[in-house]
Amino acid sequence: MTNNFTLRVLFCALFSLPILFNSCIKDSCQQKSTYKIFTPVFKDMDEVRADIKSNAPREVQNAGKIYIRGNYIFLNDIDRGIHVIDNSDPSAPKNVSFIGIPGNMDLAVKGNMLYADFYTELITLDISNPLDVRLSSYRPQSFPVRPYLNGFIAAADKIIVDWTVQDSVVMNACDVPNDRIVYEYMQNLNSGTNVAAVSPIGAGGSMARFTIINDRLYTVSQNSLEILDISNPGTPTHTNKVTLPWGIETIFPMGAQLFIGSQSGMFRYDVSTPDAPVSLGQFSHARTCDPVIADDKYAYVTLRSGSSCAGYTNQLDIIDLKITNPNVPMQLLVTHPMTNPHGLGKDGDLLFLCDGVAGLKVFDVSDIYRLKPLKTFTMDAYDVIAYNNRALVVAKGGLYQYDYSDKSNIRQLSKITINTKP
Amino acid sequence: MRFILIILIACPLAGLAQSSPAPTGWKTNITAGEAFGESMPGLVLQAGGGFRFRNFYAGAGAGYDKYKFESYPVFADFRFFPVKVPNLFIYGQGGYSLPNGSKKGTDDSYLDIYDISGGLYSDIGVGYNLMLKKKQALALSLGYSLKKVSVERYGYTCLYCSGPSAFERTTSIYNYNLRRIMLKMLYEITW
Repeated sequence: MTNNFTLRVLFCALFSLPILFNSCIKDSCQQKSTYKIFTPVFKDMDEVRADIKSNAPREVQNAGKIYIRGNYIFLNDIDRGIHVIDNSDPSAPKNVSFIGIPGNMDLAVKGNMLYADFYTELITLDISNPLDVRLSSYRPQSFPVRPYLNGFIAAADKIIVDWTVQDSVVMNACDVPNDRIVYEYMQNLNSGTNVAAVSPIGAGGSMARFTIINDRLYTVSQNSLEILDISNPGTPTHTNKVTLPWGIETIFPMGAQLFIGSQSGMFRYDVSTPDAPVSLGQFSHARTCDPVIADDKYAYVTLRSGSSCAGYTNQLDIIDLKITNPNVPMQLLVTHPMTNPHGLGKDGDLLFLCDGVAGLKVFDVSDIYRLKPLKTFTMDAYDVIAYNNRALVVAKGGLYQYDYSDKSNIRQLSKITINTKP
Repeated sequence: MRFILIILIACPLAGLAQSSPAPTGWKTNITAGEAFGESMPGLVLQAGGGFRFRNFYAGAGAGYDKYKFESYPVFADFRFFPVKVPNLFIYGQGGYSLPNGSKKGTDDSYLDIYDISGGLYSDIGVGYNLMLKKKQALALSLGYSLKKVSVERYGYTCLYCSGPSAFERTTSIYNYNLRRIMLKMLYEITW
């Protein structure tokens, strides 16, 4: 009996020990994060302006917006400049020159003038001879606010012309937010203030942020539509600014109308009076990224998720354009599920849709309710221009051209390799 | 709370000890318990078998461990029974904790995918055998356990915010050392 009692006491004492241990036990965690640290390389603004001209061709690194003019393709290399590609033989395009424009992301062409962003400046290039492009004029502070690499800001009299990239490993406790480490480090490298802007047209892609209708250049920033008079092509003058909701992404012209894609919806403006756009309504959708194109009956909007695009929606929405009352929401006619749709282009009944890693998809859209798939090309497609029986596609790894004169036999004409580098 | 309940259940069982279990032979066992640490307590289930020869037992087992990250430990299992107190034993388990698969993150601000990989699993402690019948025993044990888990996360930082190569992948590896107190109840049959 005594033994049993002793045993019971010992037993209970033993199994009560964890209460005492409780304060000693810990879950520890160490975080090892691998980053690329980008360090800016600066140059004086005047020095860089002087160098904005045709230079020897360079390898395409980060293809962005595209623009076709005659036999030439102007291909933006994000933040580096514009490649001039001789496309007189579409089966064998030649990269003939490179115009170095740091901070360039967008372009548009009218006649012999090419308009491009050069950080915060709008520059005008004379492209009458595409092999000897020259800077015609520049307009400072055209794009006063431009987010750049997680908010990085350059010095006022200098601009960033390149970045050096360094792999870095950071060890920290797990509860230290890892993103912050990168930003702080980059801000420590920073010395001052300044930076700028945004994209293309003519036969431009659906991801464009610049577009031209007659004598006006329309550009969109994160929350505004800027209007510039280019009736005197060499000297653009600012005429008006229309404030828009935040999250503006793309602009597309259709006749005398503008279709503006944003992360929360599509806005439609009548620009019959070029400097005074009149709202024709909007179509709201879940928060995602959404390039838009339109024809005379419908607007085609792709919604995608992932990366900086929030939400989980990946689809093609087709919207009725009959309603032109800004107080009446535009009507969604049909939705087609997609994988991760980006840019799109349309010519006649053919719709070209860049569906991310699912490739370039070509549909017959003569019946918008029942899209007829014609062809899928395997690639990680980003943007497309469908123009004059030629589709020009920017994708990871290359700039592709397709001939769709025979829609039952859409075929690849050429590919210019893009060796993506950070 | 669960911990206190286990103690309340375990204490009266101490009176069941009548004699030491069969000292030699093949044994199989199942275990249920709880891991207590800095995080929420987690259920522990194990099954195993082995051979006891005199004062030594060697075997192997596998189980389920819900503490912080669900995992499936596989381990070697050793026990030593001191001669003077044959019902008491010191045990040690050592092995590898297999992760419960990889999971895709749900952070909607950017793509966030992570892989969970396993790591060392160990548990050392003391236990006490309580005979139920001739060849069946119930044991209670208390131990100190370490479970290592590695979580690799891939984030995407908006680099150019435009173009086909707009996002730069960053990788973060989180190495967790989870130190817990293990309170277990083991039912064992001698064959």
